[in-house]
Order: sequence, then structure tokens, then C-alpha cells
Amino acid sequence: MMRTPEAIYKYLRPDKKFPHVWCPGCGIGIVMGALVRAIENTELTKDEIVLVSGIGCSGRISTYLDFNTLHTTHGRALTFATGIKLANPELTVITVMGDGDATAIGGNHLIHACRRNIDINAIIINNNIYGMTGGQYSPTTPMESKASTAQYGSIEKPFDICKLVEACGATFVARGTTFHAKMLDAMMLRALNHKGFSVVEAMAQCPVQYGRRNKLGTPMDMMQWFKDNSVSSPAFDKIPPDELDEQFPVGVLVNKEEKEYIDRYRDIVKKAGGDVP
Amino acid sequence: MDTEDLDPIHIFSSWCKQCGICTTICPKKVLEIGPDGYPYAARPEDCVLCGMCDAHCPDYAITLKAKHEVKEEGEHE
Amino acid sequence: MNKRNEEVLLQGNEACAMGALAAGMRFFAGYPITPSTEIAEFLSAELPKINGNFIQMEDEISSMGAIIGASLAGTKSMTATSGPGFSLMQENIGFASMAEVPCVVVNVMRGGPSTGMPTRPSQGDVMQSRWGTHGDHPVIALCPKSVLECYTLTVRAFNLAEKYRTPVILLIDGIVGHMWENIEIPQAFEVTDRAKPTVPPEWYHPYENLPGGEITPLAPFGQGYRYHVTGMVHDRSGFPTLVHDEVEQCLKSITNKIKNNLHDIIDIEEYLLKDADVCVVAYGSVARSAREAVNMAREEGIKAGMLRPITLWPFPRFHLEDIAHRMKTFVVPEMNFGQVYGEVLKSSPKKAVRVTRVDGELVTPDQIFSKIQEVSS
Repeated sequence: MMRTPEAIYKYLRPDKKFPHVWCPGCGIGIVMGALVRAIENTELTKDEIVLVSGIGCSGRISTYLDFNTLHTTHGRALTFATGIKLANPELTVITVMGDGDATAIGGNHLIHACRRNIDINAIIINNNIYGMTGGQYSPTTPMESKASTAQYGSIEKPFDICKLVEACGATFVARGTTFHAKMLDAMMLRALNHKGFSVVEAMAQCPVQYGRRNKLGTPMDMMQWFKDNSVSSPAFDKIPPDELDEQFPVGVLVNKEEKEYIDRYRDIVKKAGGDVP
Repeated sequence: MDTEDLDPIHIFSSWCKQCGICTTICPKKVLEIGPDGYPYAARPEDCVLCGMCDAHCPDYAITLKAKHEVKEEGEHE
Repeated sequence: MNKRNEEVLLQGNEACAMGALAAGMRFFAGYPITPSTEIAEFLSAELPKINGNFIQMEDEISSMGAIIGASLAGTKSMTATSGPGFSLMQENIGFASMAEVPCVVVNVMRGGPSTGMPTRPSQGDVMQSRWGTHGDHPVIALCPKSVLECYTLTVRAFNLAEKYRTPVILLIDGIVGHMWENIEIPQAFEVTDRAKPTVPPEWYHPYENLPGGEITPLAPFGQGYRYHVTGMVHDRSGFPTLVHDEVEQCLKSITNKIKNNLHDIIDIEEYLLKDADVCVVAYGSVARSAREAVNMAREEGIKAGMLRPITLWPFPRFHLEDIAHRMKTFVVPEMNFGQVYGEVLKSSPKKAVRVTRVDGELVTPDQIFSKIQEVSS
């Protein structure tokens, strides 16, 4: 298997210089590494891939990688991606969004993309905070955690992204963390090979805006927390509810076959008397 | 099979942001932070090429070479 | 010998949808809203027949995003809405302006602000179509007065969008959108298709200013031209930049491509203007009343004429300035409080009066005629 730096060299845009924009210890770089390793293990060429991102720290991924890339407006990555995929179903469309991007301002688009089961691969990098704008609380900031706009602790119940997208009809749902970097690229590879709407939630540390404010230690300490509290999904289901503390399930949580949106649209074209290519 | 002088770990310090993940995550404690603040392979002979450091480096600053790759580059039998 | 085509009875909204298909539009994304919905309903039946795409999105924000995405994949695309939805689209209309992605946005105007009067027409979105999205940006907006023009101007909207790589807004007022007329469907007209890059991928810069003001063709995603598209201020390759020269270059080039081609983009209709000393400036359905009012005035011996901006943005300011010296007055009737009136004042300070109506009814010929009489006496 190709190692991360080799894969990065292969997919990095020749005119984009590193080091990248993310803070020291930021998890987004690890997730981007997993993404290029996953892509390297497919048969896809650079021309066949469209990478669509939203706004925020995660949105910068599209700048670095040598695909057809689109840096959209805040929360709207999936809407642009839907247009691209419908107009040219031959393309593999990957959207990368942050937690605020995907579940706050883009929450409506997320639930409807799930419902349609359109063949788009959504990667949601969840670092529990709005990093780029300075550490405001997001829909996944845990209760009582501090943020620049939650100086006394958040009083809002956070989303469980995987449960949310499962309920909305996503046909492939997986959760990984930056600690489980190699598992993350295996999940992304399965998501890329899945036909239908797939979501990979990548839990990532934001050591600067989230970690520092909540005294969570070094980037490695935050990754250690992922390691200590993650439970593989079959084992997680066996934990009695009263013994659950901060644990969360990782692994492939949903994987089912259902007719994909573009296939269903092709049926409509046939019904209307059009020619399906 | 003389590979002792071929270091499997390369650290590209101009991309490194000194976050310290690699030194902590290495199960064999191969890496240490040097006096300049950048990591270096203090015990390369202990490296088992598990890939924890390069997969977890957020800045792609660590390159590992599998022993057979090192061998291939170093000698042609 | 001209063969006369059969006439068909069509609604303005239907004619717009048919014009879009004739222009090669193969992707529509929209959200239901009165009084534009017939466009979506018609296309939901017609697009699948020709293997085009129709999708009803979750809102107008996503509709606008989807048509930009489809356009980047190489398909001519469109959405249709009315005031409240148009407000939601402003975010991504700005994106399309900035990233220079061709698309057509139809706004069948109803009474505003807010939910306003869903079933009553207005012309209240003239200024929103110019300045609705934030920042300095270019805009092209066309305004039909008849069912036939709903067809022909939709074709033109696509041609301009492709030629200038910009969103084009079609401002149909609710009266024209819901009006039924017999029209002869145009058979021969020009259709501008997406130009293809003439350089190999390694030389391609999607935002390069070519010599002679030529606009770089937009390569569809997936055909070997891998590049970056962003709503951020960008350099010629499409990557975000904060370098002063590049920032200025980016913002100037999106605006100048419109400003330097006014002669091509602006279209007006003149009626009895040659000897006129009172000029009515009217657009959309109100221009029909204005024409009648000009006829009434002529019968009374008043030298009235009409100038109708068919292109509302960029505004035909120079056309007005050319004739301003020989006009006693400009009369500007509108179904709003005077949005175009303000533009006329810029060309001809102190010489314009307005006739406004915001009760959801058409400005009548009598209203305009009495204003013409008043200013000529």
C-alpha cells in the first residue's frame, strides 16, 4: 500500500505549496491523508473525481488536491455536488464538510441528500467547533463544553451525526477518528465503492480552538481520548445503557443496498419515453 | 543484507509544525524531539515500520521506507 | 417565401420553459413558489423525455447550488422562482458571478416585501436583481413584455450567460408570466453553445483575461482540465488570493466583461420616439399600457413616445442620455415605488416623474395618459 506522503505527493497540486494552512496538530491533515490513501486504492483517475468542499477549515482541502475541485458557499457543498452528479453521473463526487458546515447551515441539504440516496460520498470532519472563525460552538459541541460563544459552557444537546444521517436514509454510514487513521481510509474506500449516499464521519481534534479552551491537552492527548472512548460498533451495542459514559461506536454502522437516485431517475426517463444512455 | 546505515525514517522539517504527535504515537519510542524542536529518529534500529507516525502526521512530514524498499534502493543483488 | 408557422396558445411561464429547452437547457432545479411554478411543472414533464434532468430541491438555496454544479459539469442549467425564493438565491447568485459560471435564473415577480402578495404581480425586484447579492458584481437582467418575449428572451438569456460566463436573470412580472397569448413559435434563432478551451490542460487558466477582452471558455469538469473553482477572490488559475494586484484584477475583470460589452448586451424598444418631447420609460407588462397611453396622447396632439428597456441591467443609461436634451419630461410608470425611476433620474436629473402602483394591479393606460397630459400642459 502506498504510504501517506507518497500518496500526498501524487495527488497534491503541483502549484500548491505546503506546509498547509491548518494549525499544528490539527486532525484535518490526518483525514486528508486517509482520503488520498483511499483514493489511491481505487481505480479512479484524477479526472474522474470531483472534490466539493464547503466553508471553514475543512473547506481548504479542495485547494490542495489535484482533482476537479469546487470550494462552495457555507453549507452548500451537497447542493453543488447534486447538480454535478446528476449532470454527469460518470464522475465520482466527494464532498468534504465540517461539522458546522454539514449539520448547522447545511443541515437541510444533508438530510435531503440522505433521503434521495444519491451516489455522493460525504466526508464530515467533526472537530466539535467552528475553528476558522475563532472557536464558536457548533451543533456537535458537547454539552457544557466551552466555546468563544459559549463562555459558560454549551447548553445545547449535540447531534450524533451518524444517527442523524442513518435516520434520514443514508445507505452507508461509518465513523472513524484521527487516532484510527488507517481504519479511516479503509472506511472511505468502502464508502467510495458503495453505490448510494454514503457518510463517513471523521472525528478530528481541534487542539487550538476547542482543545485549548476546554483544557484537553496536546493534540495527542485528544487523539488518546478518541482511542480510549471509541468502541467498535458490535461491541458498543452490547454495553448496557447504564454503563455508557462518553463512549461512542466506531466502524461501519450502516451498509445496505437500496436503489440509487440516478437509477430511479433513469426509470422516469424511460417512463417519459426518453432514451436512457 | 547490510541495511544498518540506511535510515528508514525521513523527517521533512520544512513541513513539520512540531505538534508532537509522532513522538508520542510511536509504539517503539523511536522518535524524540531534538534541540531544534523538530523530531528526529533517536533509535532508528528499533523501528518496525508500523506506519503509525506517517499515517498520523497531519503535515505529511514523515516518510517511512519499508526495509525491502531500502534494500532495493541501496543494493542490487 | 416565408412559411407561416402554426400559432399556439401559450402561457408566459410555459413559453419561458419552452424557450429554455430550445436554447439547450438540460438541467432544471427548483422549489415550488407562486407565480413561477408552471415553469417547473412543465419542465418536470418535458425534461425526462429528452434525457434532461429535473429535480425539485429542498429550497431555493439548494436549487441555485445545483444549477451551478450542473453548469460546471457542462450542462446548460436554469432555475425559476419568485421574490421570496429569489431572496434565498442571492447567496449563490453571487457565487456564480464571482466564479463566472453561466446559468439562468427566472424570477416571476410577485408583490413584496416578504411573503407579500403571492398571487398578485409586481415589478418590485428590479433593484434586488441588481444589488441583491453582496459585493460589487456584474448582472445581466432581461425583462419580457409578452408571451413571445418570454420565449425569445429566455433563449437570449442562455446565449448571454454562455457568452459572458455569468448568471443571467429573467425578470418576468406576474402578469406576463400568467398571461396567455397566441404565439408563433420562433423557428430560426441563434443558440450560443459553451465554447471549448483551445489550449491543452497544462496551459489552461480558467480566469485568464485573453487579449481583446475575450473570455476564457469554461472547461466542463471531468474532461482533463482539472482546476479549482471558489467563491473567494481568486487569481487566474482560480486559487484564492489576497495579492493586491490579483484581487483588483479579479474584481475588475468580472465587472468589465459586462461594462465593455454594453452595445451587445443592452437591447431596447423605441416607440414613436423620433419627434417626441415626452418619453415614457416602461418595461414588462406596464410597457403594454404605456404604448396605449402614448397612442392616446398622440391623438390629443401630444408628442409622446416610449423607450422600453428590454435589458434592465445593465441599465440603458446612455440611450436615455442621448435623447434627454430633447425631452421635456420622462414619465416612468412602474408596479413599485419607483425603482427604475431612480435610474432615469441619474440620466436626466429633474426631468422625470413617476407613476407608481403597488396594490397588485396593472398600471392602466389612463393613469399613464393623465400623467403625460399633466406634464405637457
